[in-house]
Amino acid sequence: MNIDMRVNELPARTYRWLQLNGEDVSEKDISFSAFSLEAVKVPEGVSLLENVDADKAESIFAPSHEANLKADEGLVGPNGDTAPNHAGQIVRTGMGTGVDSLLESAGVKATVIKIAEGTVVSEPVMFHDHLSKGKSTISRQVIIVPDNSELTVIMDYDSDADADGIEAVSTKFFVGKDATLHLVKVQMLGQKVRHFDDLGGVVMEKGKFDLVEMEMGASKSYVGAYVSLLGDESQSLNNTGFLGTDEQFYDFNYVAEQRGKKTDSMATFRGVLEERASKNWRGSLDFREGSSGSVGDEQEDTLLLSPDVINRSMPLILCKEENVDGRHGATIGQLSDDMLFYMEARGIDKETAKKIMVRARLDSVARMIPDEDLKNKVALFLDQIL
Amino acid sequence: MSEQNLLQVSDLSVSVDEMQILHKLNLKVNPGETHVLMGPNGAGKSTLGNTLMGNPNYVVNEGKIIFDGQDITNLSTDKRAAAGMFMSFQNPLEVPGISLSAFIRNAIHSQTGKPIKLLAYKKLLESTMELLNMDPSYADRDLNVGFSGGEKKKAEILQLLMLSPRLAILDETDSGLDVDAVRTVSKGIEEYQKRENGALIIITHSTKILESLHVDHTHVLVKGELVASGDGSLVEEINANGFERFIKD
Ligand SMILES: Nc1ncnc2c1ncn2[C@@H]1O[C@H](COP(=O)(O)OP(=O)(O)O)[C@@H](O)[C@H]1O
Ligand SMILES: [Mg+2]
Repeated sequence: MNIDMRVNELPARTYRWLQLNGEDVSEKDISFSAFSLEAVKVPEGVSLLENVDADKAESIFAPSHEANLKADEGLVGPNGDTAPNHAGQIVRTGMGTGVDSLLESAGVKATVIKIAEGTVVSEPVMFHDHLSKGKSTISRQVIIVPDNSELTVIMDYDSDADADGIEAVSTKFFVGKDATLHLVKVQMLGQKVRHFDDLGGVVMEKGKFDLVEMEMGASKSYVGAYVSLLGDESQSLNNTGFLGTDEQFYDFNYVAEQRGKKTDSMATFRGVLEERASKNWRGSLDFREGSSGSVGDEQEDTLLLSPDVINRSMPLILCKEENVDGRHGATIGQLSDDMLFYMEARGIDKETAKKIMVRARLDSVARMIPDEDLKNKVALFLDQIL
Repeated sequence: MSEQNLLQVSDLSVSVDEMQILHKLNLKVNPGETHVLMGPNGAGKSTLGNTLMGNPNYVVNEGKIIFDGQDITNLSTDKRAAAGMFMSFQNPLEVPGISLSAFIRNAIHSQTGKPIKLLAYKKLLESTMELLNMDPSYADRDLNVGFSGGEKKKAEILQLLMLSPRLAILDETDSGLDVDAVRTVSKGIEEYQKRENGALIIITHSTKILESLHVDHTHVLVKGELVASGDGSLVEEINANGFERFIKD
């Protein structure tokens, strides 16, 4: 099949000349040959249902979807936005409707990961995908963490070094009242793979969504996350790390939609761009009506190691409520001559100095991966690349 | 030329941005010796330190730098460090993303090329920080980021002690420190002298840092030229009378 879709659109359109409203994806003659991730570890207490019809798997989102539609009644545009990104989505995702259509036309069934109400599963559920040369995979998961429960889900993707297809993942999550989902996604694909990672979910009263994400491989990565903080005092925590070398391209879109009272979203994006790598980043804090007392914070910290990199950012704070606090901060780091001299004066040569700085940044995110084997795997992957 | 010179600088002329700063400078340092370099602001003291360390902003127009029998005039900075040279920076840089402890570990590894025994390393770091009255939590903080002026200077001396070079150039390590901090730093330097029989070139404006150190030679640098040399007592004299008598019209 051919893929033509627009992904990662901002929740409200901005100036067209910035060319950051969204990104077009175009792929020819793709045939998907695998439709799920491999479940490597499923601890006791976790139920894993495969081949579930999408409608059924996603029915958990129907009530919140109805409530949102009602709340947004009278607002302009589909779903109350000025951007058409989420028209028809029962749960909003970062990349948007395009991925849903793709899943549908590829006939992808969902894997539902679920635990019982009131249970805490401390061992992580682990998924893995290995992409072989000449192959493309696409998969969708729905993670359900009901009231008063806690779950950790880890996914990592890698490939043959010369793999050249698409690795597409769609993950949707429901976090109930007083529940917590820790989600870890680690992307270590080969340098010719295109990667789609679409994420979206809802968090109920006092629930917490905690995302750790590392994007390190692939030629082009489109990554979007849309977290709807529906319940009062719900929280979203996001730590994303990325590494762009050669001509790697990243297109990121993160939205924290804050609807409940006293919701809290905190996102940190830490990355490195070197050689001719480029990155688009969109980060939106969307304070909806009724979100009084909410806070949102998005921090970007990017190290640029070459004059040829392209680093584009579009922070957006949308506000329909008075009493909220939204912040955005960006730090652009460069390895200055003075800093290099300082490190060299301690015996560290230029190349090593660069590597140390790159590693330091990525390690600060890798440290949060709650699995030693995967941590080591990340370290090995970085050893190879750097 | 004596075989035992650790450092020998001959007829060294240096320019920055096409402006000549140092004029035909000569200096010899033997192993274990402590030299004090004094001079008014802008005389070229930091320029000398940076040139010895190989900062590419400083261009050697003339002369030679021999360290441990090897001509290092054109050697890269990291190789000079590996050969046993160290400079404590007048303004240490903030390096976000890497902790003080990890930075020193990386530096030791780069210089020796050998793997580091982590436990022994940690112990040595802890005891050295204690000697310098540094809070142990600084080991895990990003290098110099948010450190006070005094903490940055202590972190420099910590690196000196951990890296144990053969020659250390200390560029105004005492400036801007309170009395207690100067005493602590001075104790650290004394430890380096004792432990390593380390040679020193101390750039300073005050005598406090020298209190517990034996000074072998004092040099006065004015407008890029060494205009006077003497023993330790010269420091006292300059402190009492200033540089006036060395500044010719
Ligand atoms: N990196 C530099 N760029 C331009 N000028 C410099 C630089 N470093 C030193 N200089 C100049 O060289 C002279 C000597 O400076 P410096 O060596 O810092 O003196 P000191 O350390 O004795 O106070 C001064 O005139 C100073 O302005
Ligand atoms: Mg100076």
